[in-house]
Amino acid sequence: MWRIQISLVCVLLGVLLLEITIFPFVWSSLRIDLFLGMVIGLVVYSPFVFGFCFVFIASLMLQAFSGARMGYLPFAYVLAYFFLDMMKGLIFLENILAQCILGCLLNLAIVYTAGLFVNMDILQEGWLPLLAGAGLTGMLCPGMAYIVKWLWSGYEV
Amino acid sequence: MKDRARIPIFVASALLVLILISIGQHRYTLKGLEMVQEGYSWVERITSAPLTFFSDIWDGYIYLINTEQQNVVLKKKISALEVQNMALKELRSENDRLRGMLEFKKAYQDLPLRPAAVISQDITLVFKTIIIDKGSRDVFYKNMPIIKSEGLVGRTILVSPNTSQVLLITDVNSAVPAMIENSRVKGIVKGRGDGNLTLEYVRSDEDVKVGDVVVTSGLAGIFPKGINIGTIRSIKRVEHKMFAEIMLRPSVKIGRIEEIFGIGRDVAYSD
Repeated sequence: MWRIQISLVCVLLGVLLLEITIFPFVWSSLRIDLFLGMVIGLVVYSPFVFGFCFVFIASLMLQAFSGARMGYLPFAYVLAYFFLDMMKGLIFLENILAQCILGCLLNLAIVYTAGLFVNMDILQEGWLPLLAGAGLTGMLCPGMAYIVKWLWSGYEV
Repeated sequence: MKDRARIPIFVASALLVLILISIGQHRYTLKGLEMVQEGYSWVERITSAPLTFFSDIWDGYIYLINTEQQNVVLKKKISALEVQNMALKELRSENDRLRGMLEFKKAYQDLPLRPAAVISQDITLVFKTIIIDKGSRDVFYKNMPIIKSEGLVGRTILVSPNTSQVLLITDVNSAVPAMIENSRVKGIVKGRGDGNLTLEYVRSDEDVKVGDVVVTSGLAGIFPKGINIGTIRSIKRVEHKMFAEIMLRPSVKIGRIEEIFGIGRDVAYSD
């Protein structure tokens, strides 16, 4: 089990490199949430407790790269994890389109609640970076979920 | 996982998150976050090394094809700049004399500036922080003013041995004591989160005009006096309201920051 945890942490470091160094270098207002795709993958392909522990610890790591108040990112991602776990019983989460739509909507929800926390209108910065970020998050979610599936099935074998 | 176990996990995680949010006021003292930033800075350095290698080859060899022509153009520019420089030196010496006569502190002539480069930006769209590649080993400290040649960038909020997190002036949690350069009217510059700033607590009847330059006032002892913050882009005076609603355009293009300077402790603060 620890080997898959280490692999996931390595994937998370790659995700961090893309999210906070490479994407903002291309467009400073662009934020693509690749970790959300990992959360979806963990909900679908891993046991509940394993996925929960990883999401909680990883979101604490992400906290180090944000000006958000301590606890906000774990709050957002743990809530997303529980929401997706609940949705697993209602919709077929392995469907790529479902992953895209959920990734896009959850990204918008996380940004919106962050705006609410600091009493800020998130549309002040404009629609374009917000929609581009949400759209690309949705598009890349199935890829990230597939990486989790690939790791999980590989170590299981 | 059985459904019965999910409820205790949900309750436990909710409690944990509540505790984290409660201790959030003291987030900048948490060592765990510094360790994560440190770890990431090494990953970033290792991954960027091959890119730097290839960009050096590009800059040092391939890009030099038209260097001779550029050299001629640059030499002409240098001679023009040398003339300008002479004029500026004269102006500067005159300025020095006047300052000496008025017994002004020469705070900005010997600013102990420490250079640093930006290695990453905030992971969220809402909050505006950056991480730079210098920390306590390079004498960076908490609440260190961070500037660029154009003006104020922000201040450090979390410092580890090799990295520092900088709260940008455009963040909604940022507040900088400021004043209007010409009229000396004081206020507080706050970030709006969208890349713009507001100047608050300036009375509606004060002499404020669009285009006025706003600088740091030196109050509160974090930022030295006179650093450029931005220019006033709009003023809204509402009847029966004590304070005017003033919007500023930051002098630094926040989205385009690559290299910055930290100001060392040994600055003579005004006020």
